[in-house]
Amino acid sequence: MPIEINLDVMMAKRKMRLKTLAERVGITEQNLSVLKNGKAKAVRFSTLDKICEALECQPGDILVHQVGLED
Amino acid sequence: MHNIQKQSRRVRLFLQCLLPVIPAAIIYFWMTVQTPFDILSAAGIVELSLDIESLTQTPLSNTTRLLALCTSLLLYGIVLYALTILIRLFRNYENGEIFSLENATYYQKLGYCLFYWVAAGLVYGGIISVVLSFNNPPGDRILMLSFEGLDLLTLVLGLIVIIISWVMREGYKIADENNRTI
Repeated sequence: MPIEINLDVMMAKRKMRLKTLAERVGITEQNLSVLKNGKAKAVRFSTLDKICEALECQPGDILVHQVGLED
Repeated sequence: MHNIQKQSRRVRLFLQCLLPVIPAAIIYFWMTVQTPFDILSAAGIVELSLDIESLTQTPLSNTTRLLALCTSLLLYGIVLYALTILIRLFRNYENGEIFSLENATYYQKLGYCLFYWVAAGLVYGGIISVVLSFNNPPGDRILMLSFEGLDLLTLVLGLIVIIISWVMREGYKIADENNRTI
């Protein structure tokens, strides 16, 4: 996938644990883990909004388009 | 869910019992047909669509029996293959895997088995007629090829099963995408 997920980087910068972020966003730890590991097929705007709110960042800090990366 | 698992286990065990019974019955049939030991035909358990007496004018020799047995085993190999697929399918049901990609592949294989069955049936009819009538005098030997309405129905059924497997595969992809939408 040419879209890279940098959620772990942002979580490390904000010193936030997966469990805490999952609670703040309102999704399960398993689902957040799927997203963090780049296994997700799609992200809802509402989820992205809550993640950005919890981590105080922009969507571009979490999602990065990598040229040349394929499935 | 528990009920599905319980019923699937029963079906799987039944299919697993059939797996050795079918080749054993075929071997027994061809070794005993036209002898007093032929319980299967006498009891009406096995009824062949072809009439052996009309094809052969002489009693079946051991070579003929062996060749007919090999031909039948080749045909019923498709049934055994379908049985192994069904066993795997019901084992998945037993383990609670119902709408999986693996099961969709099994449905597809079962659909193809119906096609193989019709094609093999056509070839089987030809080979078995030659094998059984080979000891007849020249001029009385028969090559019989038949394609019945039931074969056409089987082909249609196979096509429907393959279409269902495609639908299930697509359904699985949609469900997977939904599951992986965060």
